[in-house]
Amino acid sequence: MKNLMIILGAMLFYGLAVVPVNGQSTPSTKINYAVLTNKVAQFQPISLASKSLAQEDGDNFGQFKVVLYGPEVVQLTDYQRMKPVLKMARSSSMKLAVCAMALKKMKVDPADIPPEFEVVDNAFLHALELQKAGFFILSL
Amino acid sequence: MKIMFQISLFWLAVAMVHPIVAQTNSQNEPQNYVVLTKKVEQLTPILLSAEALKKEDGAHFGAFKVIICGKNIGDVTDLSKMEPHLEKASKLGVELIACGFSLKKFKVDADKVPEELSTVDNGILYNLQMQKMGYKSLGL
Repeated sequence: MKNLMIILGAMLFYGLAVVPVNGQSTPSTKINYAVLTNKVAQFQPISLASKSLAQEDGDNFGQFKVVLYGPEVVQLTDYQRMKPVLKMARSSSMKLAVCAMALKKMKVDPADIPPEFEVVDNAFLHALELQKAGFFILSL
Repeated sequence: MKIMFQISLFWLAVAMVHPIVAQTNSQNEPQNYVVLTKKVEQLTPILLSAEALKKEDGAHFGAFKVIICGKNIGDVTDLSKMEPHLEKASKLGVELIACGFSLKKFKVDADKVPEELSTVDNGILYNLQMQKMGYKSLGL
């Protein structure tokens, strides 16, 4: 009987001590999303998706990030072209990011792009890191 | 002998609550897949993938959905391009889905979309919703 109590105690200890350590790999219970795109035109359906998911997830909605890469990063310096995109981002929960490697390749000065865009070193690496952090990822 | 029995019992109990065991159990659940593509030509390798996964997963093969989006969405109305894929998809139980946002944006008559395809409002949103439901996703 005494030994049985020791075993049950050890199981309880394992349950309390080990399982939460594994649980640390998912630090947030919020639902997060990221979409990787190389087309500015895709911001529209992406922002609509962001709005729908924010509504659908309610309090569980975390972040919705859009990372732009490729030659179209040059469009970020075109204020008229960017105006509707920034408006869409404001009206949805979409967070904007752009690839620094693409900016460099296309000779775009990061100082000339809207401040709403977070500059990430490498869009592909960033997407993989977000996926590792538990984000649902879609590459377009 | 009694101690050995109790140690074995302890490790059995540990194994039952350990995440690795939980992971193995999750492999017994249906495996569902969603692929988002912008090219009808990619249906050939996608359907070959579905065929291979169906064989691999056996009784655990769940749903396989293919969302077609983008500027070439009009190709879904071209029966000469679609017919071989429609037959194969139906044989495999693969669901072909056209993105309603793309149909509208690229002015494709929804009535001309083969009846074997279903339509969703926004392919990007649908993909993220499926991922949230546990589907394995690939964006092409």
